[in-house]
Amino acid sequence: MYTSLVSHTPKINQQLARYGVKFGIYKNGVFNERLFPFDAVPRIIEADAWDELERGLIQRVDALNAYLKDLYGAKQIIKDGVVPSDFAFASSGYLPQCEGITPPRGIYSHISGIDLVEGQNGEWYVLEDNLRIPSGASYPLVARTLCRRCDAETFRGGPMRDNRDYGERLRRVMDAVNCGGINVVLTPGRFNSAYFEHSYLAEKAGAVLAEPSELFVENEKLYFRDAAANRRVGTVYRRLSDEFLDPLCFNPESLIGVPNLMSAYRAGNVAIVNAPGNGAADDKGIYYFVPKMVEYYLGEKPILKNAPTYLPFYPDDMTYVMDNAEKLVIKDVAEAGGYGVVFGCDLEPQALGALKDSIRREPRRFIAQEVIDFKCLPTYIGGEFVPRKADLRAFVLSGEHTEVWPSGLTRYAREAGSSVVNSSQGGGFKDTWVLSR
Amino acid sequence: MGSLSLEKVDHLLWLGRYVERTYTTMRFIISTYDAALDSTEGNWKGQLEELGFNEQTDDPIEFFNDCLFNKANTSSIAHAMDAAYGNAVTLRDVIGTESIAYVQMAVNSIEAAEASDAPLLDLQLVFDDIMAFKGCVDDYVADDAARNIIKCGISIERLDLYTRLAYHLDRLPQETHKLASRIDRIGVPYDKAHFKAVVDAVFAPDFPEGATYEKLGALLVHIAGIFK
Repeated sequence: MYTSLVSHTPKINQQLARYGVKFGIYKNGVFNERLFPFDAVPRIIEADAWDELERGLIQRVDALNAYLKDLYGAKQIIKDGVVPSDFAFASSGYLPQCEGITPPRGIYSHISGIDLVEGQNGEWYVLEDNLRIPSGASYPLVARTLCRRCDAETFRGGPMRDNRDYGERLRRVMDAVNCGGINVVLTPGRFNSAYFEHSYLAEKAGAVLAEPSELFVENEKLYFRDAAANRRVGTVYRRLSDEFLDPLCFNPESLIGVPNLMSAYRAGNVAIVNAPGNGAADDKGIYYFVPKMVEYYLGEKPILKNAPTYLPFYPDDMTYVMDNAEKLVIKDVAEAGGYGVVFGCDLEPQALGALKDSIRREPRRFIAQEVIDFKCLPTYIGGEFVPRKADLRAFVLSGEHTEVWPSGLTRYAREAGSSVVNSSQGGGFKDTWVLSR
Repeated sequence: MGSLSLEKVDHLLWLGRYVERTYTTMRFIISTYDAALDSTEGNWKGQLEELGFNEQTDDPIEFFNDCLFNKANTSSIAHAMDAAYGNAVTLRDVIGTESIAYVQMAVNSIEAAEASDAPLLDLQLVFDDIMAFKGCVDDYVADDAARNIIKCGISIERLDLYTRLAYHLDRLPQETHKLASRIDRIGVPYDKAHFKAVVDAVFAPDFPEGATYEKLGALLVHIAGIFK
């Protein structure tokens, strides 16, 4: 289906360079921009498989939104002992400053990036929920446009669903929660690793791209400093972390926040997309409880599976992890971007022993998972098709209702045998074709 | 005017200035290089030293490479184009990805020319990219104010460079009138009568013979005041 498309891979990558499709990376304190290598062999998801995946993703995100509303409100799930109290509140993503705030429409996670892998048995497993500021939607968006341009034969009447409406979907989400005013994409600035995406999504969603210095709060309302006349902001799609969002509420040393933004949010005068405090639900440790949340809040059986996960926090799980560390993948819950992920089988005995000591000392800091032997995808490297491990970040948007973008960011490992797909560690990306029939 | 903060106005103006700085400086460097081929008196650096190219070298190739490609030299075209790019990428929601792509291409073309065995020939692509960028801005940027602020930047940079280099002085009156018309379209308030008086004093009937750096400088200072 994609044979003729693949021959255009170098030209598509040239066009991606032309459009500046890059991500930033800091190495030794120096900022560099890198192109994100694109492989034209797509991930293809059949219509039936997508239907199941879509239902599972909507179910999962609805449960996570319900959890956040409960956590910062009635805390019934804690009272009922489904999620242990000290576990929920010990999460570094839990922000007491968000207690009692109900965001517009009660939505906390508007843009959810759910990382999945497909096992050898064809079953999908969720590896991680990203409910803060998940990146990556812009890349397949640009790539699809270029692929269509260079290979009409493949796309004319093809069964792949169009994915180029992400900007419109994002705009609808921002409009749905808007408290009166313009939509703004708030970026920390051009030296952020995902700056291309910030600016591209602002353009595609018809929102204003703003840096913190261009926004201010007055009388608990957020304004954009327009050269002609200040303009009220109704929704801010922030692409900076919670701790930097408002120096008067969170990190007082933040130079990239908007003072008093939280007071405007608390007063219900602006929607913050995604809501501050969401880290309490996408913590790698809380991940363990998400299937339980689905049952608790929705009364349904979870459609999507977690990778088998152990919390050393629990004595039984600690025993299992100590006995089987060499065949597990150990994750530091405080890390992201592929960092802090260690495969026990890759460690020398001494290093494995040191890791076990760390787990014993700080059991809350780690989770352990069975290694999922996930599927490789054919990838065109060096003029031939080779198998490479690949994951999928699906984007779930919650506004008027919860919907899944029929596409996603498929990241692949560049090296044979490697499971590390992160762009910051050399991975590339593919388009994701969801078939309509 | 759409939503333009003062920061964005500043980026638009400097985008225009840096794009034009790259274009005009590159033309000037190439014409100086060409003249240097025939130079027998050792003054092959021409007026480039006045543009800040103070490389202490007797090797013409090294000197011109520095003028073109040394990003650490803030007068080089590579530096100017990088600065244009730095301003452009903050404006994607205003001028669009299509326009920014030409700035990106110009940056890429400079890097490719540096690695080329015929760099001056390959720099033609940079001229092409810049001209395409200007055309794209004209055709594609819907916001009148944004479009005209970029053009103001282009005009200001031309006036500045032409004055410093006493280059194309005959074009200064026309460029000044173009600038005035663009300022009017942005809607920036300024004292039109005073501006006209300054312009008339500079472009007196004896211009350009009677022009002095003081008069031209006063005009530039006045223009800078409008944009403060």
